[in-house]
Amino acid sequence: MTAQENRATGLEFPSGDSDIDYPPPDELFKALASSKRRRLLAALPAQSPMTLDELTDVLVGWQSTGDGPAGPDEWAKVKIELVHAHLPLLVDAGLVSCEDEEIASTEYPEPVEELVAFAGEYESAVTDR
Amino acid sequence: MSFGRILSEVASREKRVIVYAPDDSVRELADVLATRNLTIDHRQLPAISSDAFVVVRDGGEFRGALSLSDLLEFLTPPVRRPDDLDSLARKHRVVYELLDDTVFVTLDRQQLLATSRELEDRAWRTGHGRLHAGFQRAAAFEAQTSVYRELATTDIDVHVYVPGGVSEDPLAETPITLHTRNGELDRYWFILFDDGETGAQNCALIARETEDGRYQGLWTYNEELVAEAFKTVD
Repeated sequence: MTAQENRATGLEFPSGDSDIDYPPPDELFKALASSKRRRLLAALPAQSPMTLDELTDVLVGWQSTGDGPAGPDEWAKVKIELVHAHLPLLVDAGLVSCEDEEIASTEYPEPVEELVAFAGEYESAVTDR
Repeated sequence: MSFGRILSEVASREKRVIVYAPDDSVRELADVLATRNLTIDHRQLPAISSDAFVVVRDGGEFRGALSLSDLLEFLTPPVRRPDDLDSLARKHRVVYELLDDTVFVTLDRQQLLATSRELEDRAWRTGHGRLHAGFQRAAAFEAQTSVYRELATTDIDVHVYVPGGVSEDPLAETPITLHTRNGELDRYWFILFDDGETGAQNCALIARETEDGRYQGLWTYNEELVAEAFKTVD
């Protein structure tokens, strides 16, 4: 069995390996199409799950480094967005798991890992200018 | 409750500051904060991500978040003290609210002046109620006469405590009441404000000078504490 290699990026997609779960492209790119979700993916360590409150702390804090201090109203708003929009989307794409209030990133296939890392790096490179 | 009791009561309330940083910047913060009732935790952030930021939690409840650089700028003297009332940056107001009910072990004069200004400014914007301010010496009061002259133009009932009084009362023409012999109160730098209505603007600052010329104290927006503090002057 030979690896299918993408000529433009050099990403390797092992062919015929049905054990690997690739997120469907629409869901994957939709998952990456919001800065909150990209931050969430960057902040979520695969090994140690975080609670919803901790994750909300991180997103609100991260936001405060650009927009200035944030209070409880902003926090409540972000938490609602997480529960109703961002987390379900990331779970559907298979990038995040939510169990018993504990949220963790899943183990990504290598090309997805690279894409998520690229999205994070791209974001900080372009927005920090 | 005396001012001393209020200080020790608040010192027993726990508050948590969580520093999220890609590096070890938490040590710097612990040095600058020097408080009696703040626990400082550190969490690592992925290196590529955000600048360091700080989350404040009080009894498990989220109180606020801001960048570490904003917090350090606020805490590191000299704290900028705008001369005109009502010009404090929103950013700084939020930091005052985040750090209320925190007993600082070492505040310097600049920090206390800046905090006093935040409270005087709040009173001035409210425009009614009562304000009691204690100065430890005449010179300290004289340096603030322009602020108090402005406060005298509002409907606030202003009382000023200056041990031994001032030689030529610069506020003689104003409705401000001057108290010159105040016993225990003379040891404290304080400002108490009661908005006389909903209490939403109530606030207090209580500080006592330590031997090295620094101060130990707190400020609060907690209505109950402000009411307790007023009992000391009433």
